[in-house]
Amino acid sequence: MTHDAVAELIGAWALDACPPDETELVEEHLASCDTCAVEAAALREAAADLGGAYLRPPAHSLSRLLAAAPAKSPYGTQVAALDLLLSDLTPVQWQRPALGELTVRELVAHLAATDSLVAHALGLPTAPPMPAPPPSPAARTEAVLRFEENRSPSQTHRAWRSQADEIAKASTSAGAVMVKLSRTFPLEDALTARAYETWIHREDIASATGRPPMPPLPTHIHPMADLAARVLPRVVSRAVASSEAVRLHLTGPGGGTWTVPLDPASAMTSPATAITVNVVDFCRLAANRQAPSQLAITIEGDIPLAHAFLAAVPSMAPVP
Amino acid sequence: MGVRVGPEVEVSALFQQRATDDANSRDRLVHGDETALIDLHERFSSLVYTIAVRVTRDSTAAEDITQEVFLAVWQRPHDFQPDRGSLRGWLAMMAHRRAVDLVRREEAHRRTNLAVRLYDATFSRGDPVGEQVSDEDAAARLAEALKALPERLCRAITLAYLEGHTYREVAVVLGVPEGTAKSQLREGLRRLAEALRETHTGEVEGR
Repeated sequence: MTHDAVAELIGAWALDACPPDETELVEEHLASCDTCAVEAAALREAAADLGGAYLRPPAHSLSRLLAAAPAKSPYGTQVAALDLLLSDLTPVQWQRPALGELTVRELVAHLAATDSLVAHALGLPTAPPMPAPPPSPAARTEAVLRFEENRSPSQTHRAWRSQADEIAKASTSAGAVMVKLSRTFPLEDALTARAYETWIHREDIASATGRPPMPPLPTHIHPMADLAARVLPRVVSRAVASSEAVRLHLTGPGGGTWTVPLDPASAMTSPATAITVNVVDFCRLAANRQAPSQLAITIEGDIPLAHAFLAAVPSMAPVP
Repeated sequence: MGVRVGPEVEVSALFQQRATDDANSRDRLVHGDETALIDLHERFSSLVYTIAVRVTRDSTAAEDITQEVFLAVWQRPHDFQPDRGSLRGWLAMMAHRRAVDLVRREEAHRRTNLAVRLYDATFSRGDPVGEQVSDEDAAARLAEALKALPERLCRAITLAYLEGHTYREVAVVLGVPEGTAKSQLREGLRRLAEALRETHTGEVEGR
């Protein structure tokens, strides 16, 4: 359709008065013609006023909406948040180093690689096909990086996103599935671990491309902190020889209190030390994105033990 | 302080601010923040609901459309592109398209069985379903802007937007060629957009 023919239709389009086939043609044209897009936006604004906005919906409209709005999962939300950030990147930004030697595009491929272990456990197909038995996340990352090597950023972006959507969809109806990542997790914990890593790498990419960090919602950070607290005994016991326990007070919205035994095999003892720190800071610490010395931390009780514990926390990273 | 800028600069600053606010709302929704959905409902449910009532003339259907629109925003906030228009315009479009789809589906039934028209073909200030008036000023400004339009343009726009006719049907009803109907719709909306811009300028200067 020519520019002039479409321009003629813009008023009708803004009023939703075009037949479906012409609506489609107009919208195709608007995606590529700035002149028409500007006029279309202005006419849309004018059309929005034609209703008048003078009637109020019934009082129960909001409560009905909130009851019907499905709660968002931590994983699905972190995927959407990273997708939003990726959609905004320039080609040059996709090639920037984001973590060690990995560029933004390679980091997205790395996320897709670890996600594919979850996809495989859910019975979904993966690209490249998953070997049997499934490899470690590091070996899988190497395979996916080779597979993605000659693809464009938008191909890598789409491949990551569509697999993530399939995982989110399949996991709502999955039964008791175990997923082998760096450790073996029940599906629910595996998805929390994936949400956690997706958030941390989103902040890596945000930092590499000059955007502010944005932590997950309180209701989403809470299960991540809980997962870290449950995984930590096995991690910390490698570095700290002690049969004591640490009380963790994680403050701020989404926080809580956990008792972490330093020897997973020993019976629960009363904590020898208590550490108070913000929950978001703690999650970044456990992902090795912040050092204990950068954080506002309050310690009570056995101070050397607390310091040894805090020094061992970042070895939980790379995030499970 | 003391620096006077022309109304164009202020309007442009206003639109810039609007685009930033809209992008923030969209980002909060993408991050799963339910308070962003509550804010959006607070700001725009009247707009969405009024469009749906006026097009469908059915308060129950309008309530359902209002729910659908805000649920769609909650589930797919990234469909909104701040550089392609305002959040307000986008919500209005979603409401209007749903309402028009409903009317077109039920057209035969609706147009033959509705014994009493709840509205005149032109803009009624009446309140057929008993909801509270929430923004009389907006209704008054709209009535004013429409009155300023020549009758043929006002009629074409009313037929298309509020009665859900395609431009081809508008041409038939008005007995004009399709090309004329298309250009009347465009010309009428352009004039309304112009009047709207003046209203915005007035709002900025009035601060």
